[in-house]
Amino acid sequence: MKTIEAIIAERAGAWLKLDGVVGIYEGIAADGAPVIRVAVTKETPALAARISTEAGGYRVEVVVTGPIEPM
Amino acid sequence: MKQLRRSTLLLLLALSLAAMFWACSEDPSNVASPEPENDLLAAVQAHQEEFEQAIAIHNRAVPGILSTKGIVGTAVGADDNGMPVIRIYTSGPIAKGPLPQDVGGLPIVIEETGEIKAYKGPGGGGGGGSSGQAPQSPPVKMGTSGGWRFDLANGFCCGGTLGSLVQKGGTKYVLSNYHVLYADIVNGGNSRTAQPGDPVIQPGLIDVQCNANNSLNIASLVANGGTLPDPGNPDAVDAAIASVTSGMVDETGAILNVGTISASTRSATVGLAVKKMGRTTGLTRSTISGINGAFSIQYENECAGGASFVQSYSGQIVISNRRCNFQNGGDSGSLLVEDVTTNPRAVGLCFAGSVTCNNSAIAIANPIGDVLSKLGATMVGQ
Repeated sequence: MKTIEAIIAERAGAWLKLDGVVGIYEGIAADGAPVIRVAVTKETPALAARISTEAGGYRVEVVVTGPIEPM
Repeated sequence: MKQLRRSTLLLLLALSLAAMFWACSEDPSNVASPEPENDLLAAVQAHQEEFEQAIAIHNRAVPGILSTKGIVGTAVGADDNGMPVIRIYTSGPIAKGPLPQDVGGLPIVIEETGEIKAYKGPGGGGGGGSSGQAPQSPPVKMGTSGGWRFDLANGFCCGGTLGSLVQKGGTKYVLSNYHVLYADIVNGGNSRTAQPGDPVIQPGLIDVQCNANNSLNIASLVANGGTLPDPGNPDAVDAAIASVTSGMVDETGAILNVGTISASTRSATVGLAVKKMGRTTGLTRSTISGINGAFSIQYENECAGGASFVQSYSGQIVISNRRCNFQNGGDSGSLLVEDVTTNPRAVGLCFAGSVTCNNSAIAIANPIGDVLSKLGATMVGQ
């Protein structure tokens, strides 16, 4: 199984092209398992259909962070 | 869904505010009937997307708007057709000169409300300790308001945080972000671009009513001092350095409310307790919620300017920023350090974050190792 970092590196480019996706990062779920988090501006059916719930053996969670900008 | 609720709440606030002003008027002819208000609400609800964009633009513009003398407040409101406008509230009549024609393409509506006073509440500004916005006497400590002396364009002034000190070749530099110190790359609204030798000031223009004469020159821009744009580089960072002016900066590298830091650094891990001292939210604490982050960030070409370029990042640090309590606009340039009392080690350079301040808001920092590697520098510390 590839590292979660490698999976993020593989998938980030494609996911960031999806309208509404602003970032992808590695986190830890409440149960302690490593997860891939996909940061989105808002949850939409279109995004839900395009983002898988699993990638490379790792769980994928969608997080509604809103737009990301320089602060 | 959370954004939708926030938009609706803001809309209702705007409508309530409008209603309040009508109700406060002594002229009964100004009291609107309920029917047009219901029509307006329906019209606004039909333009939800536009309002979400307007809120993001407004959040970015608020510090600049409020820095203009005579302006006491601002909000996103609606015009008669239910489209978003930026409302600016003034203490009295104000000359058109200092006011922008629009904010990010959104029309501006000026309302003379008089002074607005708090009824009762806690002291404002930051998470405690010395204010990051206050003018300092030299030698200036880091973690403070600052920016490029001429960062004023399009009716706004801009600024951020002078976060820490680094050194290379025996010379000490203020470390902040490219977009705080070097991002003016078009003549545009102020007929100049950021150039080597230009002064860096404390506090930044946003804390001195856009008047640089009320600030100190503490450092100078240098050639190749900014690290962006950096197309195609997976290790890109939003960093900038300015050479310290002798006697103007505390050369121990001490940060307000943090003290001296370690000269060594550490890498980020999920769950690590961190803190930062920034111009807007002051000394705040949080935890790292993510690593190896990939983001694409849009930059402007000057203060309140147009779109410039999109920079892709990888390997970024993600910090929990619930309701933007950890970091907000103006905190860019803050040094992210481990949350220990004595000589904390640097972890990252804060530069971006959510503009929607919900419970899932995040802040983003460049890994400090990437920053120092790009600059060929080391931290100034113990």
